[in-house]
Amino acid sequence: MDLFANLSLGFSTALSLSSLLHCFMGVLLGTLIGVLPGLGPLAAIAMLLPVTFALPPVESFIMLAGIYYGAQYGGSTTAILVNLPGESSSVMTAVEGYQMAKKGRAGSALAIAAIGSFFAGTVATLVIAMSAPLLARVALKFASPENFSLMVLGLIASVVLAVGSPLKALGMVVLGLLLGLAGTDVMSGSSRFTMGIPEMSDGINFVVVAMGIFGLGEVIRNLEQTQSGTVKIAKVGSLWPTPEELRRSSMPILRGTALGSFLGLLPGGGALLAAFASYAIEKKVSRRPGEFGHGAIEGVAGPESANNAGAQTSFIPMLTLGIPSNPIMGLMIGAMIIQGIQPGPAVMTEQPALFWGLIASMWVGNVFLIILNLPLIGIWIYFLKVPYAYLFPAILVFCSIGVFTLSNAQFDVYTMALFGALGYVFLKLGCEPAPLLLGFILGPLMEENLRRAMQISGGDAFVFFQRPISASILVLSLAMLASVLLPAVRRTREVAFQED
Amino acid sequence: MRLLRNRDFLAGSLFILAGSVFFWVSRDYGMGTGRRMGPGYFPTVLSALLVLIGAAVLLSSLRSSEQVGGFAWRGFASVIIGTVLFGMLIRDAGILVAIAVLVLVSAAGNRESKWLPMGGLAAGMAVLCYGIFVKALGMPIPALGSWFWH
Repeated sequence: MDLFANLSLGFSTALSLSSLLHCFMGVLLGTLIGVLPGLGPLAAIAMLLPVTFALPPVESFIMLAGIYYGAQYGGSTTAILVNLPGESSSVMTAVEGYQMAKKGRAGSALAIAAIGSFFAGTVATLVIAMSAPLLARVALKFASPENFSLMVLGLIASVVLAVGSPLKALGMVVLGLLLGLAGTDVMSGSSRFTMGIPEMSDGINFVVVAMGIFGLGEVIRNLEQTQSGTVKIAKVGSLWPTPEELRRSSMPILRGTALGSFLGLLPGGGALLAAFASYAIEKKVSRRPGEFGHGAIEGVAGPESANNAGAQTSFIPMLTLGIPSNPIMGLMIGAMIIQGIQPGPAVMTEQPALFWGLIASMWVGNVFLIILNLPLIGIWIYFLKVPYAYLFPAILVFCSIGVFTLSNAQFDVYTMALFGALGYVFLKLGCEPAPLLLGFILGPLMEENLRRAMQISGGDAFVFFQRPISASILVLSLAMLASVLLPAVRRTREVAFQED
Repeated sequence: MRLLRNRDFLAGSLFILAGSVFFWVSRDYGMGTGRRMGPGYFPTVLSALLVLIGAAVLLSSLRSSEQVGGFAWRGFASVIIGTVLFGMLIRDAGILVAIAVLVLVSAAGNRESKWLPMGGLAAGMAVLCYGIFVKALGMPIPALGSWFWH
């Protein structure tokens, strides 16, 4: 009955007036930014982070979580209506949803996406509520070797899932780790990589890095194509799905939810993998595989439920282990540290109101989203029409002010500009920036756990392989890394042999 | 020079350069021992690893022909310069000027920007942000900075 006691504590926190208000604001801002072209959830959260720093921890996290799934939701709206997936996890929605929109069934696609996401969100909330305490209990037994190995796994997973060359993604992770070490070394008190700049003594703020790379860098990339005129937006039509459409969607929603809830738990997995896997499965089990690519509603229902479930359960590793499974969770961890909360298994016992309030607010947020998105769709369409020529200077203004107000430092603005330039260069070189950010956030944490583990073992590096949990995590990471790197090696070899 | 436009060649070189710089700087930090790692231990290992990865990427470039696509110099310059100017102006010239300059400079990055509507956007954003950040949230940023008070 613990679950009910915990959930009732959660709901009493989440249903307080101030929590409701911040949840609503988060969801609203998230949807707004998700709908605007050219801004993904990562940039959205980075831009709005400084706003939440002034709030008390509970409200600030409820709002941040709201922004996250709001942005996710807004992304599917643009995927269906203008064939522009706001982020990679709605790519599949864009494929089928836009085809449905072209046939005049946009309203129905939006409704199914909303219903599927709501169902998935409800199930995922329960999954979190039930599994988080178990995991946290296991995690309390984890010592520094296990933590270190888990972080290795998380980083490797981000390499495996990165788009493009895994080798370059690995390089980005290591570069991120190094950049994350800049500042004062906690253990020895000596300052590292600060170039004698006093502002660098606390290291580089992760918000500065995230906004530079994902805000400025993306803006520059979008400026490569000159956007002319307004985007073509499909007519929404009736929001009511036909009974036939509902019937065809029910199983994909169930399967997508199950798949997403599970994949979201994996480090680095989350929403993207879940959406792709769900699409592949629906195509395989469908009796009309020929319809896929031409507006099959199963291809909206499954992936949309999967990505929402995955987005939500990816909170579990963050909340219980204090380890981010993706860059967005990395930002959440950064926000926690700024609020003075040390992420990890102790959060649940030391801050039960925060922990359970956040979980309950996820469900509340899903209710808000379904209200915001279906009846108010007309308002969001209006925002879709904002031309990029007006949008991008505004994005830059909010990024710059946001970064400046972090600590009233001009230095932060210059650093953001530098990371913006770097971010664009990385994009041009085919280097995925997300692994860099994850490495950046994990850098100091990894070093701390490495040092502690080595201190306990008396300098014996085999400690990571002598402890069963740590050893199996490391073996899993190595296997994952080998699976992506080796085929590439093989292919290069084949090419080499052919040329001989 | 096809090589100089090869994505993997450039990415590999960048990693090697960054790794070498980090390696070089880390020399001054104490390595310590395996048991008591000094501040130089982890960065030294990581930067060596980065150089190795860079070398592997560089090698792979011999087999790849992916070229760097057109670099958006105009957008790049306007966004970066606009942001740096914002940083330089925000204290001494104040939030109104800094925002207007950022909007106008960055708008130049888009060939299709028209000056009249962008002027309107600059004025609108300046007033809006002054209202939100200074008036409503009470942030200690001057509306018009010390430049205007002599």
